[in-house]
Amino acid sequence: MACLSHTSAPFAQAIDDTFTSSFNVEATDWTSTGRSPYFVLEPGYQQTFREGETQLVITVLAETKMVAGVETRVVEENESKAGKPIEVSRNYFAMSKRTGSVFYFGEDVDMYENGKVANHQGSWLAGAAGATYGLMMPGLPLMKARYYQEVAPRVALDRAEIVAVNAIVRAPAGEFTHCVKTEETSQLEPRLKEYKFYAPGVGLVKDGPFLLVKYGKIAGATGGQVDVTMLGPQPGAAAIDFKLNDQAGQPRTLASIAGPKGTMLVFFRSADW
Amino acid sequence: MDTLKTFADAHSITFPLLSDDGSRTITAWGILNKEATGKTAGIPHPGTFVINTQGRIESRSFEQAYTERETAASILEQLTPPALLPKGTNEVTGQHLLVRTRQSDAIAAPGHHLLLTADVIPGAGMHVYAPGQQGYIAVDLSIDPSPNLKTASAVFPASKSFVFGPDKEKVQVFDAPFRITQDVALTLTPAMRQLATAKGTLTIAGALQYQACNERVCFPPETLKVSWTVVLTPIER
Repeated sequence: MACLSHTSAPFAQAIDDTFTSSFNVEATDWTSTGRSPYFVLEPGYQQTFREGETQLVITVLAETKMVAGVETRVVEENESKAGKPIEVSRNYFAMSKRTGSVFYFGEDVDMYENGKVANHQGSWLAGAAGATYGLMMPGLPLMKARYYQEVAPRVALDRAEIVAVNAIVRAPAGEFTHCVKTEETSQLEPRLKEYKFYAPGVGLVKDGPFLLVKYGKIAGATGGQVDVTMLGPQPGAAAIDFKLNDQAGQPRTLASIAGPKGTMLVFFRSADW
Repeated sequence: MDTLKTFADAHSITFPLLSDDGSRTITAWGILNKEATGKTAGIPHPGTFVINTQGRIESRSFEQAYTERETAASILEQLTPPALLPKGTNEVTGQHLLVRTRQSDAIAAPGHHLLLTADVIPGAGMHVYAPGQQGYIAVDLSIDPSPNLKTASAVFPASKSFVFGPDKEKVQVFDAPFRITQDVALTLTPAMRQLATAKGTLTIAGALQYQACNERVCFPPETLKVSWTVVLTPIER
């Protein structure tokens, strides 16, 4: 007896076992802060990518979030075109202290249309709706390694295969050698294929058409751990002029407050609390 | 602006206090505290810039903890160190050298960073060994651990190469007066706040350890007790 079904093929959501989908990290091995050769998970680390008018800013936030019993680091991805938001996602990652592998625990996505949040397509969290964490970047990337980055049935099933470990990428931020190249596919969108490049010490340098234009630590995103040695102009740099009123209401500039030997300029927080 | 006038009058401040409405200058200088929200929105990371007569930054001083500040005097002393301390300045005499001490500020508040100075004057023909010199007891300034203090490492000047003894051994020494400086922060503990409210006195105690030698002979090592005294004042509110 033939029985035809018009529902989706039952095996469409089955895990493809030519990609590793289950990872065994011990509970005591997790860390939400750290760096491995191809992935930086340090609060305040920010990368800016560009493709034409579209900009993608990835920032490792000072925030953490508990996902499936693991403290994960929140990494914000902010994509905009000509200053208008397209997609803002909060991604959750944790690292194995022992191996340096970085695992992906899910994301909260805000998709924008005409400046307003339109939907949350692609959101998923490990531990919910049958989802488990995937591998984002192995501590030791080996050629032809194949692994799931997202293991969220029906929502997110991205997979990666390492197709090169010695690639060269030229981007506005510089020329990067010894890059790991991954081929990303999704079980949910079989025709989709994207390539990402990760450089040692820097992390992602090319994401599909997006090229890295800037990277480094930013002040103010590190939860009290602002690197104060980097704040403001450094010795040798020109002081920035101003025109501000003093306590008598008189306008003053850098030149008007200077003494015969120079100026000591003290920035303080408040005079009334 | 009225706030500044009130503050200036209350503290007899005569230097210009500037009002950065909208934090535009703070932002232009790249020191806006981006984490501050609500009542504190717009505040800078507190710090001090010294600007030379050419309008360039000569030095900058920012502390990781906003409650800690280098005092103006300690910043200036690092830029323009005072001459060798004159005879009799807080002097301690050892067997083969003497030490004179001073500090950047006579009065300080909890959270302040002060600069302590120790000028070491070796006796005639004497040298002491520079930090890092193996095989001898190198000169060292240590501050007695105290919950009232956070201390950085002592800073020594460049040493001099000296060829010593029949083996023509080359060693790193100081054979002329030299200065050791040391940054100390007064902690913000309840005990220190209480002492500051009472305008009490804090004694910072330390020790100078050294071994002196002349051309022919090395003398037994010695430890000299040194100290600095600071009158405490409460934190400005």
